Amino acid sequence: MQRTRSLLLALLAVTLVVALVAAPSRDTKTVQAQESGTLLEVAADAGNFTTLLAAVEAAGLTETLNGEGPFTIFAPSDEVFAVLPAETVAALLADPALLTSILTYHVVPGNLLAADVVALDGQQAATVQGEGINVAVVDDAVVLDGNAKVVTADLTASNGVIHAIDGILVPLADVDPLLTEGDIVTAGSSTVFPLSTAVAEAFEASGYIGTLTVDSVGTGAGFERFCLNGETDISNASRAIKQEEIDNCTNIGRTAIEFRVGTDALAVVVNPALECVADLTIEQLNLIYSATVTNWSEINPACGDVAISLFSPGTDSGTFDYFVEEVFEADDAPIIGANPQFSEDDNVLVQGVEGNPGGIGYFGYAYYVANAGALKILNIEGVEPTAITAEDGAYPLARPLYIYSAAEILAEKAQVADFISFYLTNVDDIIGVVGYFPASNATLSVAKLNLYVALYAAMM
Amino acid sequence: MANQQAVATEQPTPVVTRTAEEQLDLRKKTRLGETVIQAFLFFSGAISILTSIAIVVVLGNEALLFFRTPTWHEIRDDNEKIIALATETSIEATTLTLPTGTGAKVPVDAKIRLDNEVMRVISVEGDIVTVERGLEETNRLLHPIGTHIQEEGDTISPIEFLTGTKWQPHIGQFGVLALVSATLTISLLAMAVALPLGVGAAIYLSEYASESVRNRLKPILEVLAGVPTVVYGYFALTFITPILQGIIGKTNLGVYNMLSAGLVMGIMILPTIASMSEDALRAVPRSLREAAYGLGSTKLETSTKVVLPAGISGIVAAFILGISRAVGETMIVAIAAGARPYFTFNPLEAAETMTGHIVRISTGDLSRATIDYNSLFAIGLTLFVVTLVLNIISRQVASWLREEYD
Repeated sequence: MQRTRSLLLALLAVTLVVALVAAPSRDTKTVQAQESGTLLEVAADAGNFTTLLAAVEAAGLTETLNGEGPFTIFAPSDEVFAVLPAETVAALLADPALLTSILTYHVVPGNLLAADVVALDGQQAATVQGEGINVAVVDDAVVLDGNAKVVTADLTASNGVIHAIDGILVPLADVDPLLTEGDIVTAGSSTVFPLSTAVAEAFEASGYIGTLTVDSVGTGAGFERFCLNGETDISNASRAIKQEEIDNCTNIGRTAIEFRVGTDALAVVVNPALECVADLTIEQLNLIYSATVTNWSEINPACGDVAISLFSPGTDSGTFDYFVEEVFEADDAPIIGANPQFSEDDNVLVQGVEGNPGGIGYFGYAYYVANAGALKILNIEGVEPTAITAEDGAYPLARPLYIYSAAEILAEKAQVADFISFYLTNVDDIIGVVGYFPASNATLSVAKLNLYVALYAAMM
Repeated sequence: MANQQAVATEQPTPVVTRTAEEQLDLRKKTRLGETVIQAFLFFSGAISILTSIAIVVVLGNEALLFFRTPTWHEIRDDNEKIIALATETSIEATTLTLPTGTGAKVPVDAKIRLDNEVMRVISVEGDIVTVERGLEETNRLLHPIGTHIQEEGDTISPIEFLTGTKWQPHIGQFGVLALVSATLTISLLAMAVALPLGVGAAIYLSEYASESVRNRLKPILEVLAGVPTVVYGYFALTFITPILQGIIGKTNLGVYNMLSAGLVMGIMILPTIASMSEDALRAVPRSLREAAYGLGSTKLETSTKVVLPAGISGIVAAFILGISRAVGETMIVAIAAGARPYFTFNPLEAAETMTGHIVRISTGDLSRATIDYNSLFAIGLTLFVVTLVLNIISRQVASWLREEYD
């Protein structure tokens, strides 16, 4: 037991392969060249690559990286590895070849200094693993494969150079939607719906000719189709899958895999006529949605006598579940007992809040963005929902958005794997337009890693 | 003579000797074409009756399930907080760990449910509950920390169903009156609009309008009957409601309300009532009108005091059809009337009718064997009964009002 554990720890460290190819960016901090030691010594001196170094050690790559070289390593820092879930780590550890293929994808032969990487803008850098890394310069920063930014460039060593990155690089083959065949069926959250629809449109615009359906039925209903009836290939979700649903999936031979695609700041909106309300606390939300408080004058006497009209996403929706979790400690009796107007169709809620002087509702931020002129968004606990507060968790109602598929489906249907790969690669470009906020590079790279691990397992 | 006789003998008058059958076949002839048509007509009649019977049987069966299935509800502590697992329960474990001081709330030797797994409580010591797992053929599952503990409650009593005024199956409220009240309110509003206007239009068309006007107006009226109800729904929501809000004031009338839905539903039913009533009025024998004129009646008196009473049975038939449509109408109320079951007869409020509720909870996917699913059938049966009762009452009223002129 003890031995297994230490082995696991070591392997865990190994999990994240070193990034080798450097792509410095014009505005990243350039560290003074240190000719003092080999790549691994330089990494050790830097202090925040301990996980990576342990992984290299465990994968048996130490010798190679201490050898002649020269190598360029794109190195994810310890913070990146910290977001990896235990299951992903276990899957990687179970297969040294898999671990090696990922680690070597972070290494590019040659000594590519920041300027050299910048020069590769729009091209690929061939890695030791075989696949090439897409290099792009976006807003004066070097972005690799669309979701790993170089944060510290040019840690030079005697046999190469290290560039620190904020995501893990995953050697997914590039997807060509033109060559993707077969239909894809997706259903689930109405919150994720606009995002998935936008990605599906981009996928089709890139040449996909199959039929891709996106149904907006609510997270719970989506998981029912996915795990109970096995009708869908991908399930959109605005909350994480529940244990019960995982069990249902297992019963029909599906191992659910999670892909985090973005972040939503749940928008709490009121009718614009309510000028007296700009900020609510979670406690006040609780009072309002349990009908303990039924008139806006009780929230702020300046409001005058305006009755509160409650609107809420239906009980099948992940948004409802999330709201109940955050505001009612997972007890849905008070909010249902308050008898708000429920609808699985968020546009019905928008119309309701817009048309009732005392209307209040909540839904995904994208629906607020699409109807910003007709609604007034509130700050929660004094925090305004923005990309920054959603990302760093300062906004109390920020929550992750997911899509789910299953290992068995990915193994069987190449088109589903292609679509998810396309989704994860392009979601950051699309998500802002839809009205949600990008997940961090580290989080997105975990999703890619999940996909890669599943595909790798299917291939074996 | 002999010759004649000979002739007579040799050539007897040709007597048509036929068998009895040949002479007069009174038996029915088998005409294939007619048999087929008869069978088809019988089939047409039978299929509608059988379908009705089948629907009632299915509704009844499933509704019975609704009343027989025990309900589950969360166990709560003294502060009305839900009791949830304090630690994760693995698939193998036979004990549940609860938050401090809540063990006493769990009933011993009773069934409890976590997620979808049913268990029996064997004993409770402090906050540790020993259970027998995987009862009733449910799977043993892993239950994460925070899983709610549910206990088995009573079955839903029909009394509660018929007299309760709150409908939220999720939290154990099963009063169908919350839905029936909205159905009745909206239907009555609709009839209040449709009946006077419809009968008025019918009298105008049958008694006052010239032939050419009538021939033009009636088809237009009937086109109105062909407008899809979803169009009426959005007409109510985006056109009528803002006008009503302008008159009554936004603070008094929300965007979803029964008033707008009821008025527009009245407009929807109006052509049906007008058209059927007009047919009934025109069928009144001309001699009655002439007799009335002959006695010195004015046109108005003839129309309202002679023709209308004579055609009342047809008008009541139109009324029956109209109210049946109103009670069963779905799209208008689903779009315009609001999305919460609420016991009220105030048309300014937002409330959900039986049909509106059925359509809303089944638009998210609905899984079988949940209380929501079963409740649909109970509501459906109630809807059926309400329509039936309204029909019977209307017929009764029709027979009282009917005046025989033959």
